Amino acid sequence: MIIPVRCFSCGAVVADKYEEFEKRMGKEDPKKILDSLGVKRYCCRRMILSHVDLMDEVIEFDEKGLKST
Amino acid sequence: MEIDVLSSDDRSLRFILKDGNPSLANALRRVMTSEVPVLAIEDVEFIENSSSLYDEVLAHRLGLIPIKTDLSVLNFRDECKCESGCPSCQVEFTLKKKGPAIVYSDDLKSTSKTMKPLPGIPLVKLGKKQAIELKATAVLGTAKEHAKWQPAVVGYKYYPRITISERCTRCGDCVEACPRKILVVKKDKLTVTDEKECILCRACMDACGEEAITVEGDDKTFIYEVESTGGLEPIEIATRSCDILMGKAQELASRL
Amino acid sequence: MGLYRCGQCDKEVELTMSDPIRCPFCGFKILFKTRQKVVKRVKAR
Repeated sequence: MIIPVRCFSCGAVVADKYEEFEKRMGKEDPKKILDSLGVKRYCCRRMILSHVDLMDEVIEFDEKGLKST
Repeated sequence: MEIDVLSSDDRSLRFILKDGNPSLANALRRVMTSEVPVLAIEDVEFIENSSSLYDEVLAHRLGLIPIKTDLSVLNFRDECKCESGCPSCQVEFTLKKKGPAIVYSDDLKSTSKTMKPLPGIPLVKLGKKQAIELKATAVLGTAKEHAKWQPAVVGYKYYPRITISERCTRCGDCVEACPRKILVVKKDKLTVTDEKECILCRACMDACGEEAITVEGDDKTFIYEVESTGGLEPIEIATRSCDILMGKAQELASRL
Repeated sequence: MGLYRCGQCDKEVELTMSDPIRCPFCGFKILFKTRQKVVKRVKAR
C-alpha cells in the first residue's frame, strides 16, 4: 500500500528514505543507495527493498465513491 | 568503569564501555530502548478523512512519527497536576490537506515551537477528490507500553580480542576470508587494521590451517551503538538511561 | 436508512431497508456509502 513508517523488527524510521530510494532506483546499484541512505541492518533494508507501492491504484478505486469537488 | 566515545552526532553515538559485565551491559541497552520517555501521538480526532487509508491505519502511522522532545518541560500525562491535558504534558498538532498531494509529516502544525515531527515521512497520498483534516495529541510514554515511544535502536557487542601466534605463516588465507577486510599482511607480518570493526564471525579462524589466529569477545568491554529515531539526542538517551537504571536500583534498595 | 453515492452517475442516493440496491436515476447497482459528518476519535496504536 504505502511504505511503513518504521521497520517492523527494530523500530528505526524507514519511510523518510523511501522516496529518495525510489528516485535513484534503476540508475544505481540498490546496495549503494541503501548504504548511502544509512539503512544498515538487513531488517530495515528488506522494508524498503520488498515494498510494493499500490497507493495510486487504490486511490483510483476509492475516488469512484467520492463527490467530485 | 570507563567510557570512551568513538563518534557522536545528532543521530548516532558509538562508545566503548570498559570494566563492565554482560548483565549490566544488557540492562543498559534495554533501558535505552524501552524505558526512556519520548513524545508520540496518542489520540487522533478525525474531522474529515476521505483518503484511501482507514482512520485507524492513518492514526497508527501518525503514532509512529518521531517527535523532537524537550524532556525538561514535559511530564507524563497521568502524573501531571492538570486535570485533562496542558502544555506541560501534551503537544497538539493539526493537519489539513486537500488532494492531489502527498501528505508528509511536515504538514503537521505543532502548538509548540520546538517540539516538531521528524520531516519527510510520507503519511498518505491523496487523489484529487480526497482530503483529510485532523487533530492529534502527543504525550510522553515509554516503549515498554508501545513501540511508537521507542527513542532509539541500541546494540552492543563484546570487544574483539584478536591474537596472532608464532605459528602464522603469512599465507593470507585469513585476509581473504575476513568479511570486514581488517586483516593485512604488511612487511611480512600479519596485522589487524581496526579490531573494533571485527564482527566476531571467526571466519579467519576457520580459514587458518595452522590455528595461528584466535578471535574472542571480551565480556568486560562493550562497543555500543545508539541510533536515535529522531526524538532525542543519542547522548541524552544514554545519560537518561543511566539515571533511570540508577533510580530503579535505589528503589529496590530502599524497599529491602 | 442511509446515504449513498452512485458509482456511475455520481448522484446522492437515499435508501431505506426495503429499497432495492440500485440507483433510482441510472439503475447502476454499485453504490458507495458516504461518511457521516461526525468527529471520530481514534487511539494511535
